[in-house]
Amino acid sequence: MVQGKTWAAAALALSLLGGRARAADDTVPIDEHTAAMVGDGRLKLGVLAFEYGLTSWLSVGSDTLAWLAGVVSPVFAPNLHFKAQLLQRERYAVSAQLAGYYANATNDEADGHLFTVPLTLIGSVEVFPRLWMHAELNYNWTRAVGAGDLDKVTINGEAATRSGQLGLMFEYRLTRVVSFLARGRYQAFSRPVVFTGTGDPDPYTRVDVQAQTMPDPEHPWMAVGALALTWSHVGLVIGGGYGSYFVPGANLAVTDSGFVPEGSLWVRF
Amino acid sequence: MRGPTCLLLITALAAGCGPDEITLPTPPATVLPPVEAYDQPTGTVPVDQLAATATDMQARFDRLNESRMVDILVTLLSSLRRRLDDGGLPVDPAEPTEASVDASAQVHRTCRGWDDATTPDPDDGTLELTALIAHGQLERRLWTIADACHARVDIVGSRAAYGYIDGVLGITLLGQAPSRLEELRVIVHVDGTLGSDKQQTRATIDFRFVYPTLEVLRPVSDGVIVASVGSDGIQMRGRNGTFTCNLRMGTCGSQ
Repeated sequence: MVQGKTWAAAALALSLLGGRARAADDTVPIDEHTAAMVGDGRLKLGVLAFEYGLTSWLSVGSDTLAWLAGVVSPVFAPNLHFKAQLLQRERYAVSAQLAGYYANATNDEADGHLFTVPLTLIGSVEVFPRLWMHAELNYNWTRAVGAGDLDKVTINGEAATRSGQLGLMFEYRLTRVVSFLARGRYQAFSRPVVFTGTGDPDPYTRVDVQAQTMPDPEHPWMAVGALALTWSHVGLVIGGGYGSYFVPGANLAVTDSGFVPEGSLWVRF
Repeated sequence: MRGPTCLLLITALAAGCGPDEITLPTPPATVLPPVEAYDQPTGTVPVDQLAATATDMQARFDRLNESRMVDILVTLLSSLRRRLDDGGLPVDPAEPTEASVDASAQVHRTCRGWDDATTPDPDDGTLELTALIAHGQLERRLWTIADACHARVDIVGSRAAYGYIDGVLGITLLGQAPSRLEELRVIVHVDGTLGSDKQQTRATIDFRFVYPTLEVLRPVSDGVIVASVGSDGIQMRGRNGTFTCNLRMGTCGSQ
């Protein structure tokens, strides 16, 4: 009786996991931090991003967390991005993503605006059967106009700066549904962002402010491991690691070194 | 076709635009006495010259009062405070912000002049206060360049007071940048010409203002002594004790 129940449980688990026999040729690809696309006409609604496939090689989307940051901080950053697959073969692909973020720092005294344009080049290659390597090269172009209130453009004391980042992720596809991920990210360089502004509190007085923000630390990094479950319409990534937390999409490291959660949840139609 | 287009975009964005970094202003060379001198004066009050010393101290107080120095400081520093507050920048040297920010804030004030004009006139002189922020922390040391400032201070229930300041003021914040007189806590070294619409005098004065008390430093042969105005007259403190002179009564003595 016990033996029968054990076999039944195992069979149920295998059916949910999709069976080991059906492997790399029937997988639902993870498109976050990879060169894979969401698919022609497909809509993905996720905790980290919304994405819509305009074609098989071009999609448009928006990063959710930047909109939601306003709930817990003065920062509200509407954003939009386009992802294009430049090259796609059976065992490798190259994509590029261009995004735009805007934060309004205007206050009663002065106008201020922050624009950030992250540009990312991603290459994905199957180095061994079932083992994929995804490499990411990212440049975040940031420009401030005016001065305004720095509180409206900083999260946890960190403001977007001009920076270059490297990312690397290994994905081992155990089954059609289950994958193991190991991901790292490193900020190779950064440059300060300059705010300048003038305010006139009364007819006799003018106050000029010039300020520049620098990331602290200058070279944040993180390393995480995660389990990914990707069914046809639902995806889940859950894991953790160590380092600084990089806000997905905006690529802004907002914490000092410590535990870093890794997670994502999406529904694909 | 997609590849070359994207590469072109990458190149254009990588070029960037706008200033790379700011250049923070350099403070003028100003000698500031140590902050501790006001609490622990290093000099000896000349007991045999109490009246003369007290008279000299009174003259320093008079110059500061005629020039409306304290009112001018409040005006400048409160404008600075307001801008720092609105900009999310630190207002208290003891409380840095989380963000790693380097900044400078300059308050440019056109003096109101010795008439009833209501529009700024550059001929009435100017005041320029500069404050620096390093790594998110407001520096305690500020400075002000006064250029023939004809100051006008409105006094409730009385005629307006006219002051004159020309020179350099080195300021040390003892607390947060004030938003009003009651919050003013500073040490100042002023080197220039001070006075009123009636007379102006060349002077170098060191003073501390912690509302409502004004104290001045006076060099003596072996250091500095501190004086303040009390109900009994001029009070002078040194290593050898505290002495009071009532110049109106012509009496001096130790406490």
